[in-house]
Amino acid sequence: MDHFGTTSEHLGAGAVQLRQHALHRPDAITYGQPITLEDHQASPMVVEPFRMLDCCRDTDGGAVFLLTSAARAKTMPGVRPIYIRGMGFGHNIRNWHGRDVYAHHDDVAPAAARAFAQAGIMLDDIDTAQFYDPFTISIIMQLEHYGFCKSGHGGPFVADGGIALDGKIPANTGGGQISGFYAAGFTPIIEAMKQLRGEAGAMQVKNANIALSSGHGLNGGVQNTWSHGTLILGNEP
Amino acid sequence: MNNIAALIQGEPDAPFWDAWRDGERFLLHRCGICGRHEWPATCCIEYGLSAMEWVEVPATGVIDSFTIFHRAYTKELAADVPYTLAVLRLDEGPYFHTRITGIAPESIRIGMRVRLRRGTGDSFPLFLPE
Repeated sequence: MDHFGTTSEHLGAGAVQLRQHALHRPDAITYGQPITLEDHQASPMVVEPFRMLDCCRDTDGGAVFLLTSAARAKTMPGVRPIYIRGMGFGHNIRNWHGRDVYAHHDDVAPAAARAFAQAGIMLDDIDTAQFYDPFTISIIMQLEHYGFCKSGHGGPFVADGGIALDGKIPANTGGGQISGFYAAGFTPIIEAMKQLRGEAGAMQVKNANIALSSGHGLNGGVQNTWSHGTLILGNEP
Repeated sequence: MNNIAALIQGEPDAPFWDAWRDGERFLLHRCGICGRHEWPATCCIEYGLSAMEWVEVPATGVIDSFTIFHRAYTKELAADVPYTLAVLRLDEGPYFHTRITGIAPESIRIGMRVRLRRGTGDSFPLFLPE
């Protein structure tokens, strides 16, 4: 925010958008509770720049997916398999040792490069993105790091409806971790699977064949998130 | 939180906390070969663990990043809200996470020079503007 002029209103636009998505999901923790930008701005500051409505909440619940070979999945009755098209990881411990951490704390580039290469696709081939989003800023930063918008433009991109169902890249269509449910990395994976199976209801992305799902975390005890994982999922092998 | 040294007894960082508790001395882990300072305790990325030693430093630096807590992270900090948590870049090179005291949170700026606060019985090394 200091570098790019991203504002609290940009964060708020993301919070409102996620809440809109969750309004269509009876299993979301904020189902039936729409918010406005004014609600966001009036919510108490917790740790700057995050207000209460910028943060996800602890959620009790469970999530399961079964991982098996593509050949075996096809033999399982009543199952519509989702295929792992590509995966990659990045870890910027080198930035800790190089003492250049805080402006580049996540490590999307190597994770995305490997995952996209494995899948043999380009960014434009992604039909929907499901980002790990414990805080509103996480979506903005990942939109920039993946290249869905220019560096520093993530705030206006979200405020202009870029992650809405009819936006440039429909993202976190179940409300994400902030308004849907927080189940660590399961949240984006489960929503990607729903989209690719055509089970996303009113938030279904048309012709959703390839989805991006991300995760980040790990800290080594000295720093906030600095590892990143990229998963490219598809409804065809 | 009043006896951090006891909590991390036997851990690699124990000498740091012992020195702070016993005499408000501020130590960094330094490679005896290349002279690079580290915090927390670590191996030198060039020369490994055997070259590492604890050395006392003046404990001055600049604010690299900071945020303001409007809710206390632990109940012991409730009376200090709002308080500033900062990442310092110490003059010897390493980052150090601490609270900034002696200045209103809204007056703090990135790049501000800070020094260690002594003589107030702090269980954790806190900093204030130079």
